[in-house]
Amino acid sequence: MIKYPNKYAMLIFGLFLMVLFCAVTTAQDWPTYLHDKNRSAHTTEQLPDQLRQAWVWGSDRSPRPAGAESPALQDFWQGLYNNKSRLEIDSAFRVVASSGKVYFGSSNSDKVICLDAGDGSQLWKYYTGGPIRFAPSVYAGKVYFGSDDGYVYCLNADDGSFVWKYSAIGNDDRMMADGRMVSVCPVRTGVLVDNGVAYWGAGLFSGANTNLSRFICACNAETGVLVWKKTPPRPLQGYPLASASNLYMPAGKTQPTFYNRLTGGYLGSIGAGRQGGAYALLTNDNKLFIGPHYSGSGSYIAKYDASSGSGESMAWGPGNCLVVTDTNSYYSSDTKLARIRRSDKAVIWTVSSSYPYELILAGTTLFAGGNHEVAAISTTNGSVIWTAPVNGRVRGLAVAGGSLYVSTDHGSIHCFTDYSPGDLDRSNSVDLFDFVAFAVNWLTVNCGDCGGADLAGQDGLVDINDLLVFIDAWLAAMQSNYE
Amino acid sequence: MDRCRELAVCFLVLLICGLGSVCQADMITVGNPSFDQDGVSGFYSYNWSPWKTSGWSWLGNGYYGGAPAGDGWYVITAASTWFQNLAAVFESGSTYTFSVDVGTYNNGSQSGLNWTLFIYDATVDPGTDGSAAPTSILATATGLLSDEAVPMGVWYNKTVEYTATSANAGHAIGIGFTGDYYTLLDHASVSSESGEVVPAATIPVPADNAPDVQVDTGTLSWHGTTDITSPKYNVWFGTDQTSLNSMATGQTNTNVPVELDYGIRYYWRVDVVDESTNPATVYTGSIWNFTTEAAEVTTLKAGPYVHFYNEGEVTIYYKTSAPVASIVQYGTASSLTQTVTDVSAKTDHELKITGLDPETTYSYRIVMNGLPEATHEFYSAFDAGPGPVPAGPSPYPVDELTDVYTQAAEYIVNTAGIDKGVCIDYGCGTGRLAYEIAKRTNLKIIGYESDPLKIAQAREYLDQAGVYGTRVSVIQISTAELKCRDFTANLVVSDKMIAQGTCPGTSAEVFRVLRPDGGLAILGQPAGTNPALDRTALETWLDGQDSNISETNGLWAVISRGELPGAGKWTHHYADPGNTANSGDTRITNTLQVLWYGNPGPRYIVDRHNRPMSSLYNKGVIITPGVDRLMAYDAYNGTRYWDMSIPQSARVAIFHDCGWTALSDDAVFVAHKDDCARLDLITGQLEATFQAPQLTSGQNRNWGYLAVDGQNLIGSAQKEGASLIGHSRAHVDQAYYSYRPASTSEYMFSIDTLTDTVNWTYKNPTGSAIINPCILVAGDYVYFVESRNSSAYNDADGRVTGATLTSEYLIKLDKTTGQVVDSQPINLPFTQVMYLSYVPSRDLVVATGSYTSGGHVYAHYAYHTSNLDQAWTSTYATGTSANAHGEQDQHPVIVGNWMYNKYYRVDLTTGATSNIALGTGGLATGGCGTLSACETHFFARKGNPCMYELPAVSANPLTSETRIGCWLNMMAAGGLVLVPESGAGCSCDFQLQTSMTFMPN
Repeated sequence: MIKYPNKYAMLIFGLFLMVLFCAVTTAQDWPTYLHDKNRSAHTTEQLPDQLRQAWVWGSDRSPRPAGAESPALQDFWQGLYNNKSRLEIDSAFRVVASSGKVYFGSSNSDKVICLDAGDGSQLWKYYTGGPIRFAPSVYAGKVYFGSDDGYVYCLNADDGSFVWKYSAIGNDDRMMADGRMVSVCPVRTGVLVDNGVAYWGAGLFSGANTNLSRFICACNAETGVLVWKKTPPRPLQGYPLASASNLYMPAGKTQPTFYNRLTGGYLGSIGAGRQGGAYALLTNDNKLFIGPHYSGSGSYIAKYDASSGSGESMAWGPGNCLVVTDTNSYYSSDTKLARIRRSDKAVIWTVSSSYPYELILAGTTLFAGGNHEVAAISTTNGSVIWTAPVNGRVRGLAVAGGSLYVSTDHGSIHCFTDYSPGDLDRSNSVDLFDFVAFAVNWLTVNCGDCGGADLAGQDGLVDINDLLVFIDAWLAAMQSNYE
Repeated sequence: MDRCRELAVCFLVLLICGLGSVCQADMITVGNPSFDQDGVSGFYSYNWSPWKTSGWSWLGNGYYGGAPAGDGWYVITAASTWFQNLAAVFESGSTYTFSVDVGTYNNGSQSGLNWTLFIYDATVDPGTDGSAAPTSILATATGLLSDEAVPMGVWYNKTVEYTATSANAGHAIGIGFTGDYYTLLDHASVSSESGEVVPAATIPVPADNAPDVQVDTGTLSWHGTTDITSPKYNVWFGTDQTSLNSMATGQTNTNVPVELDYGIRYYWRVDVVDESTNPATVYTGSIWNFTTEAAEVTTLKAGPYVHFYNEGEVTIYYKTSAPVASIVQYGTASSLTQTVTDVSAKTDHELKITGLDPETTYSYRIVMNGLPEATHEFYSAFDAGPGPVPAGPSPYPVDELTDVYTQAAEYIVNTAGIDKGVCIDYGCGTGRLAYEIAKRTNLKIIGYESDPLKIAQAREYLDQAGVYGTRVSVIQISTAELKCRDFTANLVVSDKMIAQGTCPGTSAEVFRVLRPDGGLAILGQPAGTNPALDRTALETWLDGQDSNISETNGLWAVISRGELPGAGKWTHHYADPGNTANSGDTRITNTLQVLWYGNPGPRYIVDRHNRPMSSLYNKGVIITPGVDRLMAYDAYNGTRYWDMSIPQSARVAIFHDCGWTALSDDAVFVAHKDDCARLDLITGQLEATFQAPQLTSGQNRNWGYLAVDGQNLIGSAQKEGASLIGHSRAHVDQAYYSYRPASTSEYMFSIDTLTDTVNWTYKNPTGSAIINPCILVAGDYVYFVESRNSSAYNDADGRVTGATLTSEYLIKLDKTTGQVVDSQPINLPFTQVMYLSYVPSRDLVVATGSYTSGGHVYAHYAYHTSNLDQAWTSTYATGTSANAHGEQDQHPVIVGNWMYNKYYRVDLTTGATSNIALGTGGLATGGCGTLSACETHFFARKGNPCMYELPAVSANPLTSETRIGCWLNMMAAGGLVLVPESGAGCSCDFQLQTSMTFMPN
């Protein structure tokens, strides 16, 4: 006769499972664009190898990028060809996620939307007076974002209630720009919040015959009180980055500029001449990667010393984006993925890839975005371990709270997450078929993962413990309509 | 024995005589002359009755010394047909032979003489003397004397035979001859032999030997025989007369259906079957033949034109030379896997492709008669605007205002007739009017409202309908001031006026934001609305505004805004057909502000170093020619109206050529290959195409010069390849450096666009190369410079260097008749570049150009338009030989009595030159690009866009954020300074690569 554990043992065991589950998943937030103020695109959170689509949020209209008709594809005189856009900033509704909520801004409907991460239902929305082109930043329970109406907003992350807003020019003067009636000084950067200060840039033009102005601003994140405001030498377009002392602001077509965080003092520009781009990444060892730069054989990313702005050599030439850890760099280009060991620049592996648009690293898995498809790729050898179809080109990726978020240029946001433990046949439902699969393995021993039925403890045995996990999952699925 | 022999001899004689009587042909009298009038020489006459002719040649009596003595003959003096209707008639079954001796006239061997003898039914068709040969031909014999190496005096007897049938019985016999020039004829005769009556089908249709039979003929038919009772017919048909296929057997009908194909000789035969005999008797008929018409090769006559107007779809227009089904294959990644079709045959084609993916390159090709045309591409990204309102119910409650808003929106939309642009709703309330207008148009509607509650409600309703944001947005205001720049709105409406019966803000504010050249404010309320709008209150509110109040369909006031006083236009490449490069705008001040910025971006713009054509402006619309793509957008608010993708259309190195697009007040004219298309200015729809007249068969000429002159187009025709089309590094090299060739044309013409007829053509009788950058239209005349150097006009592709463009003439044509009014030989020294400009203030035409002699030298030759006498000439030495930044290519601008170049100005009274007094920062002597002007300023690229106030020429940079292109890329028009994106491939260090427009601040 099998002796079943009593309820106290079950409870302890359940707690053990809970702790084990948390330890395995180490769910984290993705609170700002590309995860952090370095735009590292790297989280330590590990997702399972196989994911299922939990929900998809769609829009009737594709995003309306400000730089839709750029770039020029080549410069014949300089011999630069296959140029890519240096204003790849708002072609999708890129998301951030924190505490079970997902946030993004819409350039179509002029609002920030908060969704429940579990089922994609809308929790709240907040309208502004113009398109919102950048993903918000979540910081200390608040959501920060800028709008083409000229304001940076601070809302409570839980319910979207208003906290403060700030306009660099202090008025609501408007003009037609990029097909919309917007502020004469629109916010054309993301909002970076760090150490209690929110930083951003607004306005594109300056000069007597423009009757327009531009600014770089810093406000107290809690109160919205201005800390400093300066006039930058170049327009600021893209997502800011920050080191301990410096603020880096992409300009779009030309070189990024950088500033003293405390004072807003202009420190210089990164790179020189014909280079620039809104893509930027700052490493922990103070290297700045900028792109796309142009060449005779196509666009590439260049590397600079973040303190001086001087250029440095790179281990790998072509690239659209990259992820850098302390030990490795992962590059994505139009046709390849590569892993480079940073210590000696050795190429660990190079594989062909049809996922050229986006790249992030979650634990030991790379997620890469292609055309109507997203993929999970092993950092060990570059092999594709999972793919899923999506609606459009992938232009945004984020991992948080056990889920992968994919934003496309069709205005869709896909959420992929783990299969339910009870979904043994990976059919996106927990049903009798899964129970049959479980029952077939009931009381088997030394069965490996036992056809997926070894749900508790991974002990090669299918017993009451596994049954309890299965029942919980089945009940949970019925309650949430898991599918 | 002797008696038997006699009897045998008699019998044999009788037998022989009898046979002879059977075999001996009867001779039929052939009307005099029978080509047999001996002894008469040197007599020629046109009229040789009873012989008739279908042509004019003389059939003359000749007697040549080398001819057989005493034997005269007749000669045909031009290829012609001679025929005679005889008095004799056909007898069924008899065989008739027409015989003629044929020879040649020339002394020596003659070759290549064609001859034909024929017998015809002269009762059915006797022919017409002097005009038409008989057509009811019964038998022919034809040949070529060259096969027989005919020397003078050698004769060949030629005959043709025909056996008559019951169909011919009693009909007059006709004989005829067709021959080439100098064919000699003698001893014509006709004989007949009786024979057995053979039942036969006759009079075949198509006729025997008929050419060009239409393939849709549908049937073969014949006349049946009356020689037997109840005849039946077997029909044989095929393409090989030795192996005909049975088509019908034993039928009584005298016709059979048939399917034919193009360009084939068919053979057929009708046998008569007499079933009264046992077995039935089959009388084998003659083999007839006919040849069907050649297939018409269908060609592409105009286009293709790919029209962008709505999101995610295009309309493809094209024209074909013959009616065919409309078929376009298309797809992505060069894989043409999809097809759109309209099976109805037509020549003007219009097909729509929908469901396009964003930012995707599509390949497409036209298919005609199963044969594909060339494959082209278009890129799908197009700023169509906000897109349609999603289908679904209105988010608004159904109440007493539902019908009111519907009526109001209907009235406003129908009255305004504006589909795209910016609509301001002054006092938009909860957005109900905005929603109704959005459903009916493609307008972007911006609502201004002061009540926060209504704003919140409006956003919720409109978001629920899926339109909030890009389609309809709501902005909070706290005063009457509308937060937007002047001139922004194509349409102004007011929800508040409808729902509350009160006037919003101020009418002055309404007028301030109205777009010039067609902006409308339609303000009021449908009849029966409560609370009602009071007319007196409305009039008071309108006080000072020029408006029309109507009480039809309610109470409505319309404020319209016309062209800004003093606004200029830029309808041709150098502003106007006179090439002044001066828009005439008088509104530009020294302090500007940005009115709007945005698309077009650089994606579609021609790389600046290729030096493409300028943008154009008229009636508030900017037309920017891109890489095989025209873009149309609102000059006052940037709304994109349409794009048109036209393969291989964009010319580069334009300063050595002429503009290929021009504007009227309501249309865009685009020259493409040998056509000029007319597109509606606001919608871009293809309205018509006009083909350049082709003067020489087999020589296709493309459309070169283009100017719009009222309802007429003035054009030139040039060889294919005369214009440089495309963009690449190689094209850039042709747009820079020294001694690059100019595009030239062969002839000029004018077309009436209302009737699509050619008014006139001008072509120098001995040939000339008309220099494309040296053509202008001013007043009632067309002026141009042509080179009569044969090396120039015989150039293979019409691209000719300045050194070859010699023997120049200045020509003045009457633009209505095309007649040469005046012509003057001139001697221009230009080897680098040359232009012709009209000077309105002095009524001169000035030829300007440059050559290099110890540095680049510009020279000017001014001529009075009245008589083309030279008024003055002058030169200016630049002192530089640099040639990589347009130093030697500058085009002048004409402002009042001055002509400006980047280096200097010219007094147009005397021709005296003087350096430009350089203001702050100066005007860079290097730097690509040329000047454009208005009455008060000129504009140039001094690194970045810069304007210079005249006459001081003081520099005033517009912005350092952008760079323009390398030819003529900014202009003052519409009271604005237009800076369409033109940097394109420029990777220099500047921040913003987008279009922008400035207005006086």
